[in-house]
Parts: sequence; structure tokens; C-alpha cells
Amino acid sequence: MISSELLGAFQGIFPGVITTVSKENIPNLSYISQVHYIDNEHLAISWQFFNKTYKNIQDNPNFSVVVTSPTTFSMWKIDMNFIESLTEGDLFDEIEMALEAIASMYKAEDIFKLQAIMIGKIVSIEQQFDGYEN
Amino acid sequence: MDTKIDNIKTLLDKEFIKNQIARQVSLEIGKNIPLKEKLSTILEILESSYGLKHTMLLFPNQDHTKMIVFASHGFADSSIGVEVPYGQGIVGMVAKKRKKIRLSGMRYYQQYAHTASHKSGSVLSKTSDEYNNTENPLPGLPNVEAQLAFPLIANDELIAVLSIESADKNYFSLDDEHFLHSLTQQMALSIQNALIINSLEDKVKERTREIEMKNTELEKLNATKDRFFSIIGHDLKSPISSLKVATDLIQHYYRRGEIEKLSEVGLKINTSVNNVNQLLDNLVNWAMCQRDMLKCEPKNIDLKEIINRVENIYRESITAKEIRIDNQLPENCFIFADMNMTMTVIRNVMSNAIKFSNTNGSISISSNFTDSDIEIIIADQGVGISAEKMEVIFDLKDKKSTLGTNREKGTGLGMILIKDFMELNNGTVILESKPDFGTTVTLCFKSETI
Repeated sequence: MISSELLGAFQGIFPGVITTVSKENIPNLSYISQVHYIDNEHLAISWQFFNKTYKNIQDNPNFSVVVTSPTTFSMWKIDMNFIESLTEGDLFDEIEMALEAIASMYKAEDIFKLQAIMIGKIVSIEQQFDGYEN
Repeated sequence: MDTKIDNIKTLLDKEFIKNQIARQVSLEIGKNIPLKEKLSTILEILESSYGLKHTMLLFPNQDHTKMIVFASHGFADSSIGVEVPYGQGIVGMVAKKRKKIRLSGMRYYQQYAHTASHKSGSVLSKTSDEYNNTENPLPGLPNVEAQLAFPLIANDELIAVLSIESADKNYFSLDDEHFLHSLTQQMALSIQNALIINSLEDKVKERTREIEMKNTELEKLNATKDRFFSIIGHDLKSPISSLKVATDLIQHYYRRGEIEKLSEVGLKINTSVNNVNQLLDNLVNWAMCQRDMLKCEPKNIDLKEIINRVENIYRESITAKEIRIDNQLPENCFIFADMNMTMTVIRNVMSNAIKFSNTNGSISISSNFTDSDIEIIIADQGVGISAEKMEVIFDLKDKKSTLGTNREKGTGLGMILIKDFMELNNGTVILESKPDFGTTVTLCFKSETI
């Protein structure tokens, strides 16, 4: 179950961290601007250009993300299982549109090009830091 | 337990506020005041009741290529009238895709764009601040951190975009987004209705203007028709009656054997026929001009020759009034104009000058050359024209012809023809007159092909 506090962590206010592992069992950490909430069992990550992360997920579908609540600073580690990459659909369009808008402001269309969104199933959620009283 | 009750209380308070805002907004929308005023008040309500400090409403232009700021609240510069192209920035993208955008941590994106562009070797053309200072500044907060923008859609038409900005990263929750989304849809329909009413009012105004114009045109046509009947019924009758008297006189003198008096009658007949001739000529020209049947075929013509011909037509009247004509035009005085129209213009100007000159008066004809124009100045020393008559001299409505110094008659068409024909030949006519001192007519012709 995703609490309303955890829901706030999916607004992209604090960047998240994604951890993937290669075929050779070498871990890779990367910052991601936003982890997108789909429903209580699924999250999505936008794929712009973190090639290493993308390659690792193709080879090893188990990965984790760490997200932070912008109001209480609580942190969670969420273990996930990669299901599929999508290049269309409502969520894809919504993320693509926001990136396009930003790109048009900074004239950086090549940087903010959305390649795909990666859908993962939540395996477990573990609170890492309890945070402060709001 | 206490915490749970507190949470429920907070939730209830929130819902109460939302309901209150929805009610206030719908009340405001229903008011019979100008749309701009209405929307400004709604933006104020959004701040006072919901804490949204920086809001802006933009409307699309007619061909849906740009959004234009229509109302704004809480910005240093109101930005009213500033344009944002479709697809440009958050608002432009919302307009283009007709979908909402919610962004937080916008500074991160900017830094990210910078870092990424330097890393990849490419150089960003502009930062957002630089962009805001360039020729096409996007309206909004300079230090924006979070932005929510909604498309207002009614009946499948984009009515407006509502943009809400904050300098605080963590400002808009999902809850805010859902509430504002439903509020904006309610606003969309009302704004669409108001816009339809406005456009209907504009249409009514436009139609009224059209009807008024048609009315003026009809009045003018009616005056034309009245003038036409008055000329045929009255002005044409007098010279014909004179001819009748003249033929009676011929019989009378013949019966009494006073043959020498017949030459006197001959002069009278000549004058009458000249009058009828000019009158019919003017009438035909004017009627054709009214029906756009006259063709203007300009070519190089010698004005001096035309003036000599006109002088010959009026030879009898000039002699009878003992008028001196001082023709100072040089030889080969060429102008670029239609021959027949120029003839009509000169004949009318000359006939007026003769008609209103006193016995023993004089008429001077001089010229003035510029690069592309020739001014012909025809000045008499006659009775002149009063200020009231000058005001309506080129106006057909209610116009009466003035009798000459020898009670010569006219139709009042002459001046109208002069003006119309000069304009058709890209020329102008200027009239200056002082009662008892005379009248000067300046005709400005083109001297070469345009």
C-alpha cells in the first residue's frame, strides 16, 4: 500500500536514485528526476539517455529506486521488477509533453527527448528514514 | 485517536474551502459584467481562498497559433497582451497538446539542461533567464520553481489556458491538481458562453454599421435621382423655352419686315443652343459616370489646344460680356489625361468663369510646372462664392445652381463633374474664392505616364 506521504515523493521535487546490476554483477547508481506513480503496484521511470541503466535492466530485470518525501524528508527504498518499455500511451504522452515544454524553454530539444518509459512492478517497499514531523 | 480526528478535521476543512471557492467562482461567472473584470476577480478569489499567488489566463488568437495573456494576478508585470506561440514553454505546450502539465523543481531542469549540454559538447543557446530577457519574453515569475497549467476546454474547443506559478518547489499537490482541474472545466464553459455573447454583440454592431453605410449610400442614390428629375424637369426646360421665344421672334420680325433684327435673334439662339448642348453633355457624362460606364483612357494631350477650343465654343458669350481672356499657357503644354474628361473639366471651369464674370471683366489662365505635375490656374474677377456655398459646392444633395451675372442658368452638375473627372485622372481640384473679388480654380494634372 502506498501512503499519501510516499505519494508525495513521486512529484519529482527531490531527484530519486536508481540502482541496477549488470550481467557481471556490477552495480550502477544513477540520479533520476522523477519516479512516476501508476498505481499501488506499478511505477514508471522515464528513459532519456541513461544508457548504462537501460542496458543493465535489459540484462537483469531486478532494480531498486530510492525516493524522498518533499514534506517530511522520509526516504524509501523500493525494490522493483522490470516489466516492459513503452513508447506510447497516456503516461508516455504526459511525460513527453512536460519534457517538450521544458526543452522549448531552454532550447534543448535534444537533451529532453523522451526515448521510452520503463514500467516496473513493486516487489517491496522499505522505509529507510522516518523523516521529521510535518 | 486524536491524530486521526485531527486528520479528518483538516480534510473536512479543505473540502469546505474547495466548496466555497467553487461557489464563489460560479457566482462571479454568473454576473453581468465584462469578462475581463470577471476573470480578474476569479484570479483574486484563487489567491484569497486557495493561496494561489501567481495566476494567469491566456486566450488563443483567432487562428490558434498563439496564446495571449488576457488576465493576470500577482506578477510584477501584468503581461496583458503578451503572446506565447503554441508549443513554446509550458503554456504553449498545454495549448498545443490540450493537456495539463504539473512541474516541480523547475530550477533543477534548467541546471540539468546546462550540465547535460556542456557534457555532450553542445552549447545551450540561452538560459531561461536569458530567454526571458530576449525579444519574446515568456510571461511569468523569474524564479519559478513549480508550475501547473490547465487547458480550459469546452465543446472540444480550447477556450483558454490557466497557468499557476510558485517560487516554492513543493507547492502543488495531486489534490490541488484534481481540484483545480475540475474548477477550470466549469470555468471553460462559462467563458465560452461569455465569448459567444461578446461576439454576437460585436456582430450586431458590425451589422448596424453596415446598415448605416447602406443607408447613406441609398440617400446619396436618392439625391442623385432627385437631381436627375429636377434637371430634366426644370433646367432643361428654360433654354428650350428661350428657343421657342426666339423662333416666335423670327416670325414676328419677318412679318413686320424687320429683317435686320434677325441677326440679334440668331445670337440668342446660339447662346440657347450652347446652353442646351453643354447641359446635355454634362447630363450624359454624369449619368454614365454614376453607372461606372465611363472609360478613362489617359494619353498625352495638349492642354493649350483644349483651352483654345473651349474659348471658341464660348466666343459669343465672351464677346457679349466683353470679357478679356489672358491665356499665359506655353506652347506644347502636355498633360497625361483622358481627352474627353479633360475637355468636360475645362469647359465647365471656363463656363463658370464666364458666367460669374461681370461685363468688362478678365479671366487669366496660367500654369505651374513641377517634376510630375502641371497646375493650371484659371482665375476670374467675378462675383465669387460665399463661404456657405463653398462648403457644399462638391455635394450633390440639396444643391441649387446659382444664376450667372446675366442670369445664366446651370445645373449644379459642373463642379461635381470637375471633381470626379479630375480624381479619375489622378488629379486634384482646389477652389479659392472671395465674394466680389473672384474665384481661382487650380487644376493639378499629371504631366507624364504613371
